[in-house]
Amino acid sequence: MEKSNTGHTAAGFKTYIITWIALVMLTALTIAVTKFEFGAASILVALAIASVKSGLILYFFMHLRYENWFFKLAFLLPILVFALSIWFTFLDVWYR
Amino acid sequence: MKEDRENRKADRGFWIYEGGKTGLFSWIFTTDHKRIGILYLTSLAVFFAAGVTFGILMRLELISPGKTIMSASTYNSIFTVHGVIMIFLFIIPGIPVSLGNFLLPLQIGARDVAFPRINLLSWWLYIAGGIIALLSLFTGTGPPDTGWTFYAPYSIRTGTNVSLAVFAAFVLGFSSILTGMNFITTIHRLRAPGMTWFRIPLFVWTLYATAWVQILATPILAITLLLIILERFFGMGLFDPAKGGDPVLYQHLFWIYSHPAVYIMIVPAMGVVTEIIPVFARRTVFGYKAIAFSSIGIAAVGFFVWGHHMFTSGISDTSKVIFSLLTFLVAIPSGIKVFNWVASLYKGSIKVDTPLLYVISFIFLFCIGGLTGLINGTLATNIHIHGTHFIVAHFHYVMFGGTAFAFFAGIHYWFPKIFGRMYSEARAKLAWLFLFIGFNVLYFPMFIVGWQGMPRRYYDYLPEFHNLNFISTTGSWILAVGLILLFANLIRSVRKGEIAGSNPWKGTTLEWTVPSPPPVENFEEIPTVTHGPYKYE
Amino acid sequence: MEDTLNNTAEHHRDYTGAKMGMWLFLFTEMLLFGGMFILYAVYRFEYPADFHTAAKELDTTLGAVNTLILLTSSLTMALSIAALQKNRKRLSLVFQVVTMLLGAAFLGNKYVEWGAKIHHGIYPNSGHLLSLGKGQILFYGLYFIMTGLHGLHVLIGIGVFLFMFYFTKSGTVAEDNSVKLENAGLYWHLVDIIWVFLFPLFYLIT
Repeated sequence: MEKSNTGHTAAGFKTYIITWIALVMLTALTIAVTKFEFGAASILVALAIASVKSGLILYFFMHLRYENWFFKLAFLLPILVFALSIWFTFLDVWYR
Repeated sequence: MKEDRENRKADRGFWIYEGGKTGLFSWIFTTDHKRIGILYLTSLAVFFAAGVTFGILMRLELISPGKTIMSASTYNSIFTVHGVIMIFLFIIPGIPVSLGNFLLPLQIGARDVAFPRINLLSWWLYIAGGIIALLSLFTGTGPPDTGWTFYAPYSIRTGTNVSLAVFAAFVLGFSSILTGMNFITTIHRLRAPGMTWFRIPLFVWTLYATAWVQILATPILAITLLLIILERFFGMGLFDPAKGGDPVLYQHLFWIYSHPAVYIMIVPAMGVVTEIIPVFARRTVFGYKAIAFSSIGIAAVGFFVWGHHMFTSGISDTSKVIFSLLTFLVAIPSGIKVFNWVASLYKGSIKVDTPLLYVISFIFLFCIGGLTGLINGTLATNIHIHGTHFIVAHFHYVMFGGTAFAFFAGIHYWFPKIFGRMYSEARAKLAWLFLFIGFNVLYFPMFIVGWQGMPRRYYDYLPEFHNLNFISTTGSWILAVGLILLFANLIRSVRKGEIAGSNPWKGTTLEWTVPSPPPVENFEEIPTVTHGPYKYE
Repeated sequence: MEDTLNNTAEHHRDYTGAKMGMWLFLFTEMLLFGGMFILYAVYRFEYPADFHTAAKELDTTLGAVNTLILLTSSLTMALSIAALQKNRKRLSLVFQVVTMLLGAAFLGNKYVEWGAKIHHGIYPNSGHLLSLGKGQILFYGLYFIMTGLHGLHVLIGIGVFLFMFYFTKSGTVAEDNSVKLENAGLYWHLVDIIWVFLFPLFYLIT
């Protein structure tokens, strides 16, 4: 049971504030792009922006950048399970 | 904990320790993984007994065509309750929470699990879920009659007490999630020095794979069950065709959890089997890594085969073909395990004591259950046998013949460790004989009547199925005698058995290095591990 | 539950273990909402026009304001941990209070929003809603369940922060032992992430 450093990563206030500014700007962007017609792709644009925002929150706010390999890798598991579940469900819905 | 060490008597280990609390409170508020394991073992036995009782009643109704002892609606409720209890209260928690809780820290050289208090909370949630499930039988508008799958839209419309039963399953799911979280963290963080990933016993590997499935699949069930409750109270319409909802989507969501749940049930059982074989064959296990990775493989592929429960639900042909294909893929890691077990026995100095007897029956029964699973997974034959007793026979061969037999094997194997005493070998073997014969007499005829077309979940059947159903019901009595003998022998031995000593089987995993029963702190000193788990000369 | 988790962690002083437990719990949260997103995806695929019409009824401004509120609360959350780790306890407490207030403001907005919908006769199983297209019934069904479940998580988060405030004040959570607060923060950020997806999927369908 070694004592790990993860409890003691003192990130600066500045990083967090910059992250927040980026998040607010991305929110503005996701609202702004609704003015344009992307057709069916609009949901992809919205999801892409939302994913970038989540990435920022995960990486900076949730300290994923300081964590060891387990956290970074394990995080992909629920995403993989979700993505594949939705894909397999759509194999039914799409071709029904 | 440490300050109370002098209180314990050496030979009773954790059974004596009471740590400030007395009597019942020293049990139901304990954070000792061993005591929580015992709590679970006891509660599982109670729910198992209830489930068996309902099962025997069902068989009694089916002893002859027409109404025998109960009405159609009572029969519907009883098979629902039998399913709910056996699935959610016995076999899903089953091996991990009882044997797993007791042995995981011992096998990896730890003093407890990572979150002892959450471990206790899991048990409390489990008991709460169990009580709510039982309440759903006696309160409200009658026991649920949907089958354990709670299929929409019937589960939304039926007047029976479905909401409470569903809520029980929801609470039990939460308990399961917390156990999974606890085990993963324990295995990552609390292994003894030198206990590398390929030195942990294979039972721990299976617990690890299972815990991941618990974490990643259970929440989907939680939300699905929550939706059923919301539908019933507010009429949201998500699964109601009249409001645009799609009942088949309910089935998707349900099986996204409930198929992986099948692997929550069977994979730890495979772990138990893998622990026992090397000890009674006196040689190291064949293909350690193959067995370890096949556990992970089964867990991973098992996530994406759920559609094979829905071949007749009107899902698209494309998805049927893919789900069928993936179903066959699961057979590969399962097959790897079976071959490894057999290879581990090959040229060993085999001693057929009770645990190995159960293990060998496990392999035999699991093979029947597994191979008939491939028949079910084939698209064309599935149409013929879907919803018949063939399916009932198949999953009882896997779940009862597989998981429960492995559970019995594990209980007999670790009994001397847990209780410090040995059971009567002759009586245990007699109980096994009754169980094994009873089991096959009970379930094998179901393959035949199912193939001939007798549907499941009906209290009545055509006269031509009478003979086989009669044989099957007779089997249920033989099985019941076997269970009574088994439990009577074990319960008697808790007090009257011979003192077992710390390592009666000459096992080589860490739990056999500590006294039986283990002391409160498990290890006087945390061991340093220098070799793999199964080292025999 | 966070409470037990972290007390134990504190007992063992295994920071990584405590965080690992919390992350695993967050995975289950992700998949809990994941199940709902599967439903959303299928129904949006089946009824694109109805989803479009129904989404127009939602107040984008209110949704955007709530997004800002939640993002800002995530910032103050992160700042309160940073402040504690720099051993500035008072500042950390202030940030925790601001986080809670922002969470409450989010719920206040949600109350106004739901209230307006219900006032217009749009609630599950209402006569008006049933008279709309099937896709709209499903859209609002999902809307109420998903935002409701999310709101419940915000409420639980505020409850957790009340404990954290108490712990920080009493010194149980401190500069050298901040894992409880960090785990509470992880939970809060995840709730934020879920909203980041809910916002475009419900308010911004074009």
